[in-house]
Amino acid sequence: MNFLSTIFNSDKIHLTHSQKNFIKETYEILSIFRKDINKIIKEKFKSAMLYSNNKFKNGKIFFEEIYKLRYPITYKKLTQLRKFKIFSLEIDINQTNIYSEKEISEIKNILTTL
Amino acid sequence: MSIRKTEFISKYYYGKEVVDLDEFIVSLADSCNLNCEYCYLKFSKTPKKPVVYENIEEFIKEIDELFKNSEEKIFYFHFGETTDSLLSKKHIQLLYKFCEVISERSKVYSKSCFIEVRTKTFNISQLTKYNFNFDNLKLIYTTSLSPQNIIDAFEKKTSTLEERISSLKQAQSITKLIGIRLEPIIIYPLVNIDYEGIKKSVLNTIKEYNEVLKKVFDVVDPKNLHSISLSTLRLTKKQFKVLKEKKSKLCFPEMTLCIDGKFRYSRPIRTTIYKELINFIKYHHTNLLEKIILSFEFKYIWQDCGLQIKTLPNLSINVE
Ligand code: SF4
Repeated sequence: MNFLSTIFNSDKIHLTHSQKNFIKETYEILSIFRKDINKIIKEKFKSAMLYSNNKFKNGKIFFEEIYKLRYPITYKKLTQLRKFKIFSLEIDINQTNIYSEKEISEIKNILTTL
Repeated sequence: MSIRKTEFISKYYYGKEVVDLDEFIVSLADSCNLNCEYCYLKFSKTPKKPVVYENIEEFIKEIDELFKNSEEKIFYFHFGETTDSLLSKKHIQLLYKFCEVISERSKVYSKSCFIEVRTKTFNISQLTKYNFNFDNLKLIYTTSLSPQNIIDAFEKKTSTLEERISSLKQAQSITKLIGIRLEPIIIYPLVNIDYEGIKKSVLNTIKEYNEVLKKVFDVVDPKNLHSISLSTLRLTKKQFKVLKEKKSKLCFPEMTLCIDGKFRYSRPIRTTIYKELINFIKYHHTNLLEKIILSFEFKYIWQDCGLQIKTLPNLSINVE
């Protein structure tokens, strides 16, 4: 896991403590299934650095890439739900009364399919 | 002889916002040596080795209290939560004694009781030695079913799928009530960690579990099916941490922490699995729809799947 320390200590990127923990956990979980996961994470880091010299921006891009790597389905769904200002998949949509019927059916379709 | 120092009977608490199926747990024994990789018993305060409790007089007091103080007419007792119901001869002997007591007390208080025995063993032949035709009590033989590749990977010491199916066939000579438990439904193997890989793994899983259901329908008369429960894998935080350290393949990447403190596959995955299995069951036997329940799920997931919320006693009302 040395390569993660190198990433976390890089002055080109800023990550919060909880973001670092999430990335570490993601590495641990994905390494169960993919032997080359450090290569994939290193590549994500490199490409995140290409966008700007701003370490906060880089941190945000890198973290999002890792999130997408760990939760590809959830990430896709949350992206689709952003326009409805929904930020979690585990919600009871019937308990809310801010959406029209048409919107509810669109949201339900997003939440319940792959 | 082991003495149970805490209560034998407890109302099952499913967790925050999880649909309550209204069952009572009877702990005539604790622990299990079948060692399934996901079993929560290893993480709870249970003895390391299986123990059976024989202080039945305490149980009689508790059952009297329960019946005396409740207006309900139907009670659903689950005997396989703190152990495998048919783990050993001793378990089965005690189960029979407990059933005798429940039947007798039910008559006194005019209650109707349903006893769920749940097993992953192939100890059905021991059970057939007893006559479970009791007054006011019905036995429900339930078995947890998984595709053989899941059994090989995570339930190594349990009976094979073929044995479990065969036990269902035999169980119908003891009781006309059979319960099918697809719990936990495990996505395995994971084809790849990307979106397409996960999707493919989910679809493969559905196919495998449909095959299991098909085998059930080949041997069980649908009239004898009391209930079919579906529940995808859940792991407590502690389990998740320990399994991750052990590099267990149960630590699926798309698992999220839910409000009840358990990790589950993300909602689109769970709902897809449930809906597809429900469709498969419906396609084969339309009237089984009303016998399907989701275990350890939230109300909105039942709604996602078009299921009416029901409890285990509800499902037992019209049973003859
Ligand atoms: S058979 Fe049931 S009780 Fe026994 S180890 Fe497996 S999950 Fe646990």
